[in-house]
Amino acid sequence: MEKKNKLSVLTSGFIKENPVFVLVLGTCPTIATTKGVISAISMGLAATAVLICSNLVISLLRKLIPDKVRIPSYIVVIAGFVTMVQMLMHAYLPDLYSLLGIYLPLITVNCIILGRAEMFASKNGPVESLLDGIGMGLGFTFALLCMAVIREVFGAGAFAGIEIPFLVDHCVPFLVKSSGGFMVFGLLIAIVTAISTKRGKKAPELGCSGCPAAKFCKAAAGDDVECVNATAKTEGGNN
Amino acid sequence: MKKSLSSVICLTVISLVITALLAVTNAFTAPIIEEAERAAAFGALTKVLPSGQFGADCEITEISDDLKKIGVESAYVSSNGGCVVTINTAGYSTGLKLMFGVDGEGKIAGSECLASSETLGFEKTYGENILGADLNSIDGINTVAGATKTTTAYRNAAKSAMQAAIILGGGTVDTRSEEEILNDNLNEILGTTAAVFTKWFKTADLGPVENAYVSSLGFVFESEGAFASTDRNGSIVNNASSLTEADIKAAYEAIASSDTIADVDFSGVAVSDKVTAVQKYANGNYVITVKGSGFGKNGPAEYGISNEYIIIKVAVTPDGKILDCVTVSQAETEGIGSACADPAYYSQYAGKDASTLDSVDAIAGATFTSKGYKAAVNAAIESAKVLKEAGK
Repeated sequence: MEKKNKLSVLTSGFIKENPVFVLVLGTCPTIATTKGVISAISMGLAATAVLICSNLVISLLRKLIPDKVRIPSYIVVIAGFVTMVQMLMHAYLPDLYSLLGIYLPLITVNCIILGRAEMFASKNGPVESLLDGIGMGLGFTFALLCMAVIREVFGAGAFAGIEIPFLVDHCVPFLVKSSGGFMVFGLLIAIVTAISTKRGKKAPELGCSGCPAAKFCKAAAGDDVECVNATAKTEGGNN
Repeated sequence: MKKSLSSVICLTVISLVITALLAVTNAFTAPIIEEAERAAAFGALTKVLPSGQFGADCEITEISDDLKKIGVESAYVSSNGGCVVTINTAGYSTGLKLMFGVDGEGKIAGSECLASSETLGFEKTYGENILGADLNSIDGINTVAGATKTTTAYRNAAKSAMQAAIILGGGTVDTRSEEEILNDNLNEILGTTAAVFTKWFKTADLGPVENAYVSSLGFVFESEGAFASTDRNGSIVNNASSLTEADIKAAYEAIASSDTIADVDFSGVAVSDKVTAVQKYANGNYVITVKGSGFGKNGPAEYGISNEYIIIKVAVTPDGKILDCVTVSQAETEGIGSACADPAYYSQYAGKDASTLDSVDAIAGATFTSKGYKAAVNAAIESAKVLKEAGK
């Protein structure tokens, strides 16, 4: 049973609680870095590394961090790991470092990371938090990859920078633009919602009970506390 | 109080630990990053100077005034001869940054455009034309028609790069501009060193004197490429020209008396509507300011015209002979019609009258500007005659 729970923590980030398609977090880097497959995978893996480390550290420190300063503490931890990833990429993966540009330091304010720190890592043990970080990180990477494949293949007629015959002459450049990105984003959310609904899951209801984070949130259970999703989005913006 | 204190301590400890981790990460990534950046910079150096060998101390850290004067921003010396310099110049717009490799023989071995805001993109390809050029042959390399400003700036920058190579090699080059050379020559003729000369706007006929230069220390007169000078009181200092003493004295008097000038009220006189101001000198000559309708006023609207007139000041005798002409302001197309502000263009009008005005060469590719300019100058000539008849 314990094993099954841990497995579900790991896998829920893919579809059931996918941070991009279900929780609708991290929209800015999702739109910005999915013009190409390489940049999407790079951003996904960089965010995953930060997510794993920050989830683990925040989980270990969860009983030591006073409630009043939890958000600044989480941000310091996340910013520290982002800067480390940035330094390491600059040193060992300079091409990817240049490719991601400003979106790499902006992982600090990616609300998936702050959201998981607040929703999960601060309430669960280190092993579960580590698995959640891996699952959510890979779910984020998977979402970026899906978006990037559609946008690059049909928008630029290429895959990972390699031109695809025929498609390169019959591509839809609109898909590579931000507006096209939003359209693909909306379509993928619709597909994921349709799949979830078909599997017997109820369509999301309005209010806290319909929130994908409801099971972690005391506000959804009726306690007189702040909504965690609202906190994450307010503190981090919808990055 | 206790809770607040624990919050402060907790946040401080977390910050310190994270800072320590960052310091450790930085300690082993910084040298790798620095090495990679150095390799990238050296990669660019060998791209423009393939035969170059650049060690760790190849960069000239202090750029001398002579190098700065010719636009050199940074310089790298190859251990086996030759150098690489980056030059910041302006073509069609500012910010044209070019890198040149100059080999041990002082020839251009390669060049690269590092940054530009030019419109046509010729700065990316023009470098191929100057490969192998040296200081003697660089002026003979053609610029690209339609991108004259960009390619001329590129060629001049290549010339500066070769001069920089000489300076870096311990030699000397004359880095003075044409204006500075002329000013120094005029000082020599006047027997001074610090005079700052300006070309006199000819409001009087100076006879055989073609050009006069004025400074606070004296005057220099030019005739057939030779010079004569007087001090501020009219005493001749030097005369290496064919001008007689009388010619020099007359020219001096004409300039010295040119301060007496009065605005002319031309209301009620049928002067051209292009005339915006008239002044009259004691010698009877007029300085008429006219507005010309060039491309800025008459060009097709779809080209984003400036809607500005060309403002021209014309010194003209009452009989309609032009003594001098200068463009005061213009907003014609940059790089094309803007040539009307070039002394090489407007100085052509000096000595012309209504019958010889057509012999003035038009500006290539700028029909609207040339026609509008010439019509305005002609209006000044005709207006001078009208003013004379009206007794103004």
